[in-house]
Amino acid sequence: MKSLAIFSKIILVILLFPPAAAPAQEAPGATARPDPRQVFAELVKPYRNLNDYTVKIHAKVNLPTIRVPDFTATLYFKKPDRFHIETKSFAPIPRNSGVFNPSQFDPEKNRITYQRTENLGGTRADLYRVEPLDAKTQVRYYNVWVGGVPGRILQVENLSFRGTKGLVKLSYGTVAQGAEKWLLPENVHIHLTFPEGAPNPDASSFTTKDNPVSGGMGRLDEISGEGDIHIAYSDWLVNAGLDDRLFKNDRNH
Amino acid sequence: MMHLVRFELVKTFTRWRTYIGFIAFGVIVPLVVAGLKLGGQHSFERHLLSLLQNDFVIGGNVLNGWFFGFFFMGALWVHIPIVLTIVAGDQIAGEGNAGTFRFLLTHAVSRTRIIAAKFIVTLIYTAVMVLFIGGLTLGLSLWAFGSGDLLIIRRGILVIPEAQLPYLFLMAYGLATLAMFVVSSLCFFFSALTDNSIGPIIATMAVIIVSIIIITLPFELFQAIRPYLFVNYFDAWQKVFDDPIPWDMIRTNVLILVGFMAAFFLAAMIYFARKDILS
Repeated sequence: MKSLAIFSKIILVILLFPPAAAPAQEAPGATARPDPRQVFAELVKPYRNLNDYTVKIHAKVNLPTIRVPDFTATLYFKKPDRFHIETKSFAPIPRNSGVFNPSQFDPEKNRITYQRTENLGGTRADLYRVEPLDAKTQVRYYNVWVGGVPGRILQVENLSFRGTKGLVKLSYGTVAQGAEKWLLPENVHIHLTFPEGAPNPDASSFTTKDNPVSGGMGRLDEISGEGDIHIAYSDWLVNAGLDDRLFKNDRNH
Repeated sequence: MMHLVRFELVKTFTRWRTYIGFIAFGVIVPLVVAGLKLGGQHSFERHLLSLLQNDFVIGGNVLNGWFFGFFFMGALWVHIPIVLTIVAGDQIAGEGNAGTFRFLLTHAVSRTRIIAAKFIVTLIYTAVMVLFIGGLTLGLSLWAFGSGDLLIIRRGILVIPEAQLPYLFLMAYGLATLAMFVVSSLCFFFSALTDNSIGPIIATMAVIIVSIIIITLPFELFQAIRPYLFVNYFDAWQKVFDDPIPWDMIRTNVLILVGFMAAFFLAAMIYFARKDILS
């Protein structure tokens, strides 16, 4: 009878004080869960004064359904999200990962939740789920790995509403311009996986490639498969005061 | 023989009907280019690249002069036979209709040489017409839309670097000319059968339209007939824009087209050699 009373007291103590018991179970050396909004505010902070940039890109595309020779281009960006590409080549750049937008993960524009901490190629990285609040966005969510010193985005996985998945690995370089220094992407490796294409109901033998009356050109009905794009960035020029007219007639807006 | 060819060339190129095709395409092509320049280019681009733009931002002069040169060639080659038949259909039938054959055949020249000279002139006209259309479409497009790499959309996207394009377009125009030689040869053959030049034009276009319907409809029976129709090999010019270029297939297509052309010419010659000239 006495042992039953002691057992009841123990159960009562466990039920009443679980938060106090939890920290005692954590592994030694574990840190408190980071505040996602604060982490991303810190990530965005150094770029608050970045109003525009110009950068040269050199890209290699290795996608089975998009066979494009290596290309170079000049990419112009202006806050908040305007960009323009100048090149004579055909230059497809992944929309959500090839154009560096410092405010892309602004905590004011996204719902951010901490997922877990992982070891990413020998570097400890916190993984966050970032869901854009903008109703017009084509991205369902991003998985963002943040780590290193100073803290930076090491890897991003994005999933579009159409089902296209991109895994982006970034490396950075320090760009010094006058008294200011910026940590900006140097190399980006993107692995794209396109969703399984459904047969297009409009497709007929008339538009197939081997029909002599097709005119040699069909419509792009699907992009399928998977592949890689590597982009190297160089010759950064920040806050040059780019003219709005540069972005006015860009086809991508 | 050269004298005969020159004589037939002068006869052909001094008739106003020879220039109907040049005038027609000389008006249509600048009109279409102007329409594209005045906004059509952007809607064309949206239609073509909308799917790609979901996932990519696109840079570069995508729909440039080379693209429209390719596009025009693909869109117009079904119409080019119409203007070719106007001249090819008149080559023999026109003489019969005008009643000039008996005069022509009183000269000490064999029927075979006369037919051969007329055939050579028909081929020259065909080549000049195709190259005129090619030169006009490509020249105007490059002038209006500038240059750049060539974007080809079939099952996926293929981009061909600009440096290779002059050579590829020359080859493509050569193959397109060969395909049109077959059309002219067929019309020339029909021209030998009659004294009315409207008949060969209608007959040739009827053969082409029926052939196109047969190769377009995906019925099993029609697909079995397909290899025996010369229209099936009209897209040989497009094959030079494949990657890798299917040289074996192009060689086979060239041989088949030359075979059709020779068959139509020989049939015309044999029939004309035995024909009773009454006018």
